[in-house]
Amino acid sequence: MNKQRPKYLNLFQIRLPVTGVVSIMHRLSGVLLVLAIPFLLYVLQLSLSHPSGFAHARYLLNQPVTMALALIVALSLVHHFLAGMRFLLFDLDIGVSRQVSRTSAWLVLVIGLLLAAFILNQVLL
Amino acid sequence: MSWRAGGVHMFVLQRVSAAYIAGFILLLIILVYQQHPLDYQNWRQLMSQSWISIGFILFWWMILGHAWVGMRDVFMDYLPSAGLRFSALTVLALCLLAAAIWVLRIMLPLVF
Repeated sequence: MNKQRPKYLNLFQIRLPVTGVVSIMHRLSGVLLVLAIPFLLYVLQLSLSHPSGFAHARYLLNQPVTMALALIVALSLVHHFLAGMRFLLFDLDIGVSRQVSRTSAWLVLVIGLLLAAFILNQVLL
Repeated sequence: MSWRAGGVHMFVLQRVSAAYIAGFILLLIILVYQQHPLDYQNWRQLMSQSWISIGFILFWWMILGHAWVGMRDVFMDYLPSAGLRFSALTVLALCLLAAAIWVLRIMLPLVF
């Protein structure tokens, strides 16, 4: 192997294309969602246990800290869902050209932000 | 099946679970929206319908399977030694199995 191969580890000098941004965000959101599983199951169990449990689950989700966490989970889910759809379409050979995949990557980011704004609006009202 | 032969199975599991999870999330949004405003009674009633409760258990198991493939990819990419990867995968597998049983514990009282 060529031992003089170029190393380029200054992360701030690497200009990641938008497709790369979506890719790493898909991975990051996936890890966040896995970490959220026990909390989601706990709230699910509470909400289905008995009426007071349901009330308690609602109370928990209305606390500022848990609401902020739930929001992060919701945003992760929205992004993971949209980016995942894009990857599934790639499997079907749809949108694999460079230009279309760049456009769809931007679409995933923009639609994700719009849906995030919508969810934020719903939660705060 | 050896570890090395697992790639194609993992690929298929990841895609099939992704499709199921995505479809079920859309279904859940519609069903919950129809119950608006949601309270304990109609939430429990909704989740007690046999096709929903069984589909919901499958939904969680699909999520756990999807999590397995995704975290396996992450561990294989970022953990530098075989020992670390093996330990992390073992812990992950135990956690996901525990979660799968937890889902049953939550949902089975509603199925029967």
